[in-house]
Amino acid sequence: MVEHDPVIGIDLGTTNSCVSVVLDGEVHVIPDESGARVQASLVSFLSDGSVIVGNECRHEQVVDPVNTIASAKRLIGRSYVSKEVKAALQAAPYKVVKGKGNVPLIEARGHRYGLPEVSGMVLRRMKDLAERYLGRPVTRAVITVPASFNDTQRQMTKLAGQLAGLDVLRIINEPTAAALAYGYGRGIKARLAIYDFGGGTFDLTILELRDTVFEVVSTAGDTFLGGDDFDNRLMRYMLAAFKQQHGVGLEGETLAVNRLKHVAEKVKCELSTKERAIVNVTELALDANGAPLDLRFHLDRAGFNERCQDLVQRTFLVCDEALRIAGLKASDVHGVVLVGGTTRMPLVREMVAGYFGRAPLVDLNPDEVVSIGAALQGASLDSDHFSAPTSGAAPHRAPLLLDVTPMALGVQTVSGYYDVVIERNASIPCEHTRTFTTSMDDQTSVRLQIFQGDSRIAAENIKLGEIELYGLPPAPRGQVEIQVTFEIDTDGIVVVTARDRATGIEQATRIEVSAGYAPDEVAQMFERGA
Amino acid sequence: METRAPTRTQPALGRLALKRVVVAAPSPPPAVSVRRALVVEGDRAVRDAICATLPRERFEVHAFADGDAAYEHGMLHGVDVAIIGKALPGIPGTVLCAMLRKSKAGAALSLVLTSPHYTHAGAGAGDCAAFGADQFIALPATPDALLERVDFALAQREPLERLKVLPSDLARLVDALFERLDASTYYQLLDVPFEAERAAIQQAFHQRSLALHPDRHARLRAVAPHAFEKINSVYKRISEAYKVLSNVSQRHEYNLGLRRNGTLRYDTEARRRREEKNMEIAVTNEGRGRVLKAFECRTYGDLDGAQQWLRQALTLEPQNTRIADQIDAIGKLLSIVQQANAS
Repeated sequence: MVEHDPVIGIDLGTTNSCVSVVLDGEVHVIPDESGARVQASLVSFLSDGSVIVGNECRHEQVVDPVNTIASAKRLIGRSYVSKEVKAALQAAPYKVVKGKGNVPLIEARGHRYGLPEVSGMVLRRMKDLAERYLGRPVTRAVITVPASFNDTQRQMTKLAGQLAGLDVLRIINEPTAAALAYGYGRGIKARLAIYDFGGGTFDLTILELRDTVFEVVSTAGDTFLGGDDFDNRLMRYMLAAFKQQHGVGLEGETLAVNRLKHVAEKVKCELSTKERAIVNVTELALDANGAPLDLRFHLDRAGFNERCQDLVQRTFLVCDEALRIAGLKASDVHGVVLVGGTTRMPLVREMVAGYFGRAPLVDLNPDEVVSIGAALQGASLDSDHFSAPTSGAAPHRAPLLLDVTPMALGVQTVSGYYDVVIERNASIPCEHTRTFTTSMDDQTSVRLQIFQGDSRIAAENIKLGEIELYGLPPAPRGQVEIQVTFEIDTDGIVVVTARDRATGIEQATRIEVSAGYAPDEVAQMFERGA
Repeated sequence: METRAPTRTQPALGRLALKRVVVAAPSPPPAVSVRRALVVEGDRAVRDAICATLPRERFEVHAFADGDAAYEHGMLHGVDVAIIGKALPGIPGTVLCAMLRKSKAGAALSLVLTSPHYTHAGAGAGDCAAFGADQFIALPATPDALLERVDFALAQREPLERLKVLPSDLARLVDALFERLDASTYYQLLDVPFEAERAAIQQAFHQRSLALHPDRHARLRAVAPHAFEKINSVYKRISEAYKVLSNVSQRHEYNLGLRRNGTLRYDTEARRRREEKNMEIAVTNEGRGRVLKAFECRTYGDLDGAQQWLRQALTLEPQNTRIADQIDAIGKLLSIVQQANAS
């Protein structure tokens, strides 16, 4: 058998990223030069024109937040005019501008970068770490995304991987990866809930584990709820405390506000292990006489919990939904697996235990579990299941993952409603064909607007793009029938094909994404990356 | 027209072909297999050009100028590939193509459609699917381009068993499922009895997934793309079958359609139209909202939830008998489920 380079698994997180690999059936979480197993998902553009990525950027994030890109994952694959991007812009100290076709672009030191480029830089760092660790080139990877990511976000993440010089074998959902890491080699038969609370997103996924098959039963998520929300909550509290102490506000003081945000994150983490946190932030501002103003601030865990428990409560709305779709009650779940840094908070653990009526399983590191699952899936895709049958090798073969699509896929009808073609939670890969007809006499072209989401009103869903079928024979309305095939592949990526039934004219297209980049822009990204 | 005795037996594809193997004594396969090509083309110059090209790749060529004679020949003498012009005297090429595909041995036959009129950039691919052709080529074309299309078409119909990329029992399973993909019920696709319980259906789906999920054949994507596509298309249908049969209300509707009209696939579009109509059973906006919720619950198999929303709608519109009827209908479904759970 030809010896391939191993497939790496990358957890590309909102705040942190992690890379793992399977070697001889054993999972290795890859450390960096200083031994850290988790990298900050940060990219800093320095004044000398160089770019640094990962944990090194933490310092830059404080002193030069304008040129340090954090949380790129919140923006990737989204439209500049979406409410998610608007909300992210308010929190982001760096500059985001509107590109062609409402694509958000990052501007740093006079250059503009697409978000796949920025994420690509993080991925390249992970690839470099793996190559250093393995001592050989790495070209193939499995990358994880939140279960609630739509088609555009998945395609852009895949593009980011390609920009990093990786052949992306698969995009898999983070909770599914976590379940794989949890169930690997343990031979369990159980129904698990994966409670995935990361820096920027929350998802709940319910899986049924059989020895050789892991089936996703349902999944639901909130794409704008994460650990960052706790930091912001705490930071605002500190700002208020500062105002109270000195009678002056810090609004508009970007540096001071960013220092506080940094401190807020530290306080949050400290309160996970200690009952009380005391901080002294010096020289945040100067008073009228030029004397430095400090912030002395203390908070106990109970006070923190009180201020943040509504954020945790919001996750249970998502849990309710996932259980309802699966036709289950919280007590039907045999185990709850915690994933994501936010689940380190005692508050989250207590409330999750209360909701499910059982203590969550915490024996795997929530920061590493997703990349471990991705590496296992990579190894599974790389192994030959059939042509070399049972030679005795690979006793712990990764189980087969049966995943679902998190959102319904459909088209806009004439009246502006949304017509669902593939229901949410349909197992993938899947394919459905639908027949459409002309709405006017002698109509020679038909345009189909394709959406992903669950609202009955088309405009309330995420528009993936549109396709146009032209050159139809002139005929009275309703006479021309167009067959449209909708397919969701194993990456969760959508392919739509339309065909006029009578003439057989076909228009096949990978959907032109509305938050996407023109081909020449993508080419430029590859040039810049090379 | 010169015809020779078959140089080898037809591939054992499905029951019909198997019978033929039994009737005619199978002859040992020759050392170098000669493949048979049927060429149907109205334009003499084009026909001659094609006939001159094919023997380069060891094809035995049978050429015809019109569709009727060709169809008879195609039916009587096994051919591996047919290259058919769109414009023919008599039966149009597209119709001939569709007729051959539907014929007894049609599932194993590779079909290439040719057209001298290159009217629309996408026309070819569309014709292929609409008339059962495997490949399309616009003429004139270079001999190499033509042979490439023919090769592709042959590869598309090549039984997996002969490709030797999978263990033979698995290849036979894929070939058999693929051949009857549009003629199988969801129960047949999953290989479960009509009365199978949900757990049995899930188990059957897992078995099928272990054998046929594209992830289990990731390597074939590069090595044998046609084989990969074949497995993928079979698996997508199996996943559709599982989705419908594992959902109580969808399975019930599917069974009704299957019994009444022999409909083999679940029609999501018809269900949507029905639900839109159903929503109209309420007369107040508040009522409609609740009825809509009820049908959403039913879609996901949550019958208790559906029942609750409908009851709420009924309290808002106590006189509305149509809502009461819906509650009865869901109640019946619930009792079916309860019976199934009890047994």
